[in-house]
Amino acid sequence: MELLWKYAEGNCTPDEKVAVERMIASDPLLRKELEIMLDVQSNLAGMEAQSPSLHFTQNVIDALPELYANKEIEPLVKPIWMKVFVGAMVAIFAVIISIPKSSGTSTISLPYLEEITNFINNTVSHLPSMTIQFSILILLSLAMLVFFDKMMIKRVRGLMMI
Amino acid sequence: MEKDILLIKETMQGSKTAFKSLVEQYQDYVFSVTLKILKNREEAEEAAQDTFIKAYRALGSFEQRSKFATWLYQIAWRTAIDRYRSRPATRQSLDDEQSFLQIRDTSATPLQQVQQQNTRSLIENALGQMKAENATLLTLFYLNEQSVKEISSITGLTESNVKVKLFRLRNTLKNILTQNLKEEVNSLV
Repeated sequence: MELLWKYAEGNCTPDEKVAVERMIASDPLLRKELEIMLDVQSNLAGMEAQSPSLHFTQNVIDALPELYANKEIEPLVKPIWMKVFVGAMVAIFAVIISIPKSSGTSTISLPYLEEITNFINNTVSHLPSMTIQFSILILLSLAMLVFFDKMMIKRVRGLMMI
Repeated sequence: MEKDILLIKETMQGSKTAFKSLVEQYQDYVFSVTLKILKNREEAEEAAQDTFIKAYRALGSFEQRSKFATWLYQIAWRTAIDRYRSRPATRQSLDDEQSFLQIRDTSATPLQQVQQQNTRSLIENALGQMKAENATLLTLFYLNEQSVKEISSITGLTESNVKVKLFRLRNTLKNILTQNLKEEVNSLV
């Protein structure tokens, strides 16, 4: 019986197929059984899905909770502050570079400026590699900020998915 | 499968349009499963709606170990079974006759069509009288094209149990047709 069902479903191996065909050729009752099985099989295989009402999809969409709403994820450091930060760093950098050359010929006479420039000048003269150290410090700070920002965005997105 | 995964990703990024596509793709199959269990269109539609909302909430936990369809039918099965169990025992479905399976029309001669109609109505009646679980097993296997292994994960039955049940159910249908054939022959004699 199981072999006949296998045959009706089309799952028989070539050997089994030959065996079944031999059996049904010599036994009309078995052939009738197989015909009924094929009938059942084709009717079941021809089942069609039933459709819900026309408004079903919209009803589902309307009932969805706001789980994955497209919230704007703001970066930790706003672009404007990044610009200010970079600008300030560039300015400091420029001052450090220009001070040793222009200290002697400076025409600016703002209060405390001379003291500041003298201090920076002295510091720089004691640390010849200060420019390089500053550059590295700035780059590292920027890299860390960008990395931290991306990490936070990822984390927030992960929380939204839960 | 890949299309489903893409739609799931888009849904989780906030696109309800992507989830709408998933609903449209699977609503008929999910509804067929819930209808087979509950045998009442209104209740089945509510269960199908619950299924999609539950799936939406749990999309983050879908690990792609199985097909999305199998995962979805598993939710549909549990949702419908829970509803079925919470029903008062005496409650009768008002539109049971609509829960029978629809059988696809094929081109055939008028005589064959009459014979097919007879077979169809017999099978439909038999399926309608079956236990909800049994009729759903046949639906999952033949309509939703789920394998024995997938049906096992949807229903929680063991694979061998699913195989045995499917075998017995087909035999039951075959016996009904055989009995009917004998009655027809006797009436002719």
